[in-house]
Amino acid sequence: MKLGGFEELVLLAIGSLGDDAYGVTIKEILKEKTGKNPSVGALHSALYRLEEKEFVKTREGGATAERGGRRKKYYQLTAYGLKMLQETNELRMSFAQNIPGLSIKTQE
Amino acid sequence: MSKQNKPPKLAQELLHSFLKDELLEEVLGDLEEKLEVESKKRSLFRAKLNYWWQVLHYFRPFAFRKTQKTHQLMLFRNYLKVAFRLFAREKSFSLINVFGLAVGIACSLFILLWVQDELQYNAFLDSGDRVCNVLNREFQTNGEVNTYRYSSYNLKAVLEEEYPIVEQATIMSNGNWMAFELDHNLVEWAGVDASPEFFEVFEVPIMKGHTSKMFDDPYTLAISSSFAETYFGSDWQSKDIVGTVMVNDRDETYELVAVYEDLPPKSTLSASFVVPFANRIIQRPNLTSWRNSSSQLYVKLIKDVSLIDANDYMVNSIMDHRSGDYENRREVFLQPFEDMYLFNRYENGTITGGRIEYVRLLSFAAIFVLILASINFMNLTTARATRRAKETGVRKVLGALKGHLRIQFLTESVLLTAFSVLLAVLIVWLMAPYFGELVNKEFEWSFTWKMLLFIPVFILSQGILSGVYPAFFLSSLKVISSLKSGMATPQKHNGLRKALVVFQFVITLVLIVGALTVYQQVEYIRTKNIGLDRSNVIRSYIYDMTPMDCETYRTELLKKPGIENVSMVTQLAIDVKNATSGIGWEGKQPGDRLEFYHMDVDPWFIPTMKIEMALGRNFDSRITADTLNYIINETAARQMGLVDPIGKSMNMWGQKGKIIGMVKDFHNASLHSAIEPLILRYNMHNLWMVLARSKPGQDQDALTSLEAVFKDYSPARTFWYRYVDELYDSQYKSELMIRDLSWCFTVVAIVISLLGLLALVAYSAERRRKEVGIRKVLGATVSDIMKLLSSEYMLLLTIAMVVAFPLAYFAMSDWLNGFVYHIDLGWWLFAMAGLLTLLLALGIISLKISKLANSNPVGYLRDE
Repeated sequence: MKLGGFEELVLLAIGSLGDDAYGVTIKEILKEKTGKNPSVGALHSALYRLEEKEFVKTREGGATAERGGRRKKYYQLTAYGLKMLQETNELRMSFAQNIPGLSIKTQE
Repeated sequence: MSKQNKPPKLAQELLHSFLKDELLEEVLGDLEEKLEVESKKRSLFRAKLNYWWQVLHYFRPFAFRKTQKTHQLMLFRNYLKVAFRLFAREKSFSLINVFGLAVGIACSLFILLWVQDELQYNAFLDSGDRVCNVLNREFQTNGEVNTYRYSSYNLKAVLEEEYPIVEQATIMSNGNWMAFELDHNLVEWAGVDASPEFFEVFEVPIMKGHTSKMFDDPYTLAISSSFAETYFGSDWQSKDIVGTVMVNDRDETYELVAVYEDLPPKSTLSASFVVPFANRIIQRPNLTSWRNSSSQLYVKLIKDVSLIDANDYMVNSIMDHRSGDYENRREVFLQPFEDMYLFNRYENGTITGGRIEYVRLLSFAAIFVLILASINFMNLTTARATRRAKETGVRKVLGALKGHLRIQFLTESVLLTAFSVLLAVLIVWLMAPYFGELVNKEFEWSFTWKMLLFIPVFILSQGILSGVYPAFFLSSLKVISSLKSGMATPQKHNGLRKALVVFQFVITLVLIVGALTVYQQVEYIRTKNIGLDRSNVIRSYIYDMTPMDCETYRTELLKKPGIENVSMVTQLAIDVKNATSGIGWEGKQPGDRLEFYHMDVDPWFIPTMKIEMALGRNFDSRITADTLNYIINETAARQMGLVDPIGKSMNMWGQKGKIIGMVKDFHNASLHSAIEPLILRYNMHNLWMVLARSKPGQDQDALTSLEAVFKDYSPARTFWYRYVDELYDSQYKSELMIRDLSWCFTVVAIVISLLGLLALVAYSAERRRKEVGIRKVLGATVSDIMKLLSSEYMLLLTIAMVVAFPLAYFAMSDWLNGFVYHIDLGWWLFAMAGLLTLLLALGIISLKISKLANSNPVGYLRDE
């Protein structure tokens, strides 16, 4: 199963948001980290694909007034999704290590 | 949340309309939350704008709602699957159904092709509605009105100069044959003498040269491109051929001034060359007389003039301008060039029809056959569908709506129609050459984009039309009754089906009677004793012979093997075309101006054609005075009012003589018209047609002899010959074609009706199995059962006959009245048609029923 570039970003965002990953927060964090502002439609399309590929699972959350009484749909990484992220990450690292002058910083 | 922060309604509705249900709540929620945030961060307007922007971004394939469509598609797939299973399960039934419809459609397609071809005749002019043929009608003293397609040369100038509604006019001869030498052979070409406006009136493109010179010089010539190709080779276009001097067989020289594109083949016009009409006038100065009306005159009207107005305006153009003493009124009227091919019959001075009648007749037949096939299809589908009541019942129980069932049945009928149409197209494609032979046309069957568009439309409409009744009938069945019995047979629908069967047989019977009548009439025509013996007579031609030449030609022929007798004439006796009113006779009333047909003959014409003398004697070659004498036929004597014509004096165009004989009437025109009054004149100048009677069984010898003598006299020419009885038959080309076509139609109609009957009987036999079983157990014999089951259909057939026979009688009497000489519609014709249908139907019925009647009732009484 392949993972597209934007899909990977979304997957990373979901992972980093933990329990609070739903449409609006995912969009916010993507905007904050990448500086680009994806449309909700594009985001949803990616989320939909990720769900189809079983990288994420969903649960329904509580309704809030600011949503007009509608329920949220929370996204969460599946084990498979996590494995996928790991694999892509390792692949990158294995390349990056061999590039002279490229320093790899990791946050503790 | 504040009231103003409500998201735009329209955008929300838009989302509702297309977004997947499972996405809807989430998306609406996300968007509204975002709106709230945005409106706080920026303005409300910006937030709403953004909302719209985001909504529009949901136009992505993943987000669209698909549920309804996929359901329908799934159902549709199921319909198709069930349809194919049904097809496989009831192969013979389905095949009958498809085949019946396919034959019907193929038949109609053929007729459509034919009609289309007929309608293309003379339809090649851009200003076709303005080009008209000038016709004449002459009022005879005996009350008859004769119509002529020919006018006087003088009329052209009158119309051009005095009638401003005439933009252009052209006059042309009926034809001109010229032979030109090519590689030491004389090749004959058929052309016309026409005034040079011909090319403009008939929009003939000039490929080389100019026609303007034809106005000034009568010895000029324009030729068609195929003429040019034969004469100058295929590279004629690169040669400098304009100005070539061409010498014909009569040693006349013509300067070639132009080459024009070949005239369209589907046209009443044909000319391989055009010579100025002025040339013809030099050769026949009497053409410039008002008395001579033998040229075809065409006019092109100015724009926006109605035909009626033009007719009113021009009606007196002859009367107002001719001078001299004429008793008979002669009027002018116009016929559009486009109509000339299809409307070629005139009665009492008006256009009454002609070939168009056959076009209409066949179109009707085609429509009827199509209706027949559709009814058949409907009947079969309904009959079969009632057996599927259980399926319908189950579908209904599972929640199918009436609409669903209707769509299912319509799908099936469209599918079957599609198969039929494809089969029909295949049939047409394979059979087109044979059909073309039948109607003397060449059909090229090519798939045009129009056809590709037409076929699906036709399949859909035909499929829906023939499927709509079964669809509505079946979908309206009660669930309980259909589930209980597995059959559904409301009585009223049976009634309709019976009515449809009756209707089918009415059409079939009318067609059978029609075909029999046409066959009888054509046989009558072909075998009728027309007063002369047309068998074993060969017609050939002679060129430029003096009376002395003619006699030696004849003597030489008689010396050769196979020749029984020879005569030379100016007209084919079975189709005399020349008529004149310039006849005087003893006892003629001053006001009498009757038309007489006339032909010039030699003294051997009467014995050669075996025409019987009623009174008097034949011409005698030893009596020189006979060249001034006349022989008339009985009709002529009657019209002249002469009881004993022999010895009465008579004159033709002022040449005084005596009537020395009267021949018994023979048919000198087609059987459509009455025998015309005829005058024979002994005149051996200008004879050009040889009628040679061969000894019985020695056709081949006679032909060899004829060709040998012909080649002695005209070595460079081609020997052309035709058998006179062939020429006789060719007068009835349309009738022969109609005879063959009506047989085809009848066979198709019979086949379709019988197929329908077969399936219906099979169906009802199956339905009444139990009844038959019980009857048999109670002691009914096989013949009782046969009677029981077939009586219903016999009744239907009888009703069909009662309806069909009067219809057929009226239709066919009308057709026969188009012939002055025709057969009577005898009762036996109807008896034969009825008997034939009855026997075939009985055969089909008993074939199906006997199996049931003879079977052991135990088999189907077992379960209850």
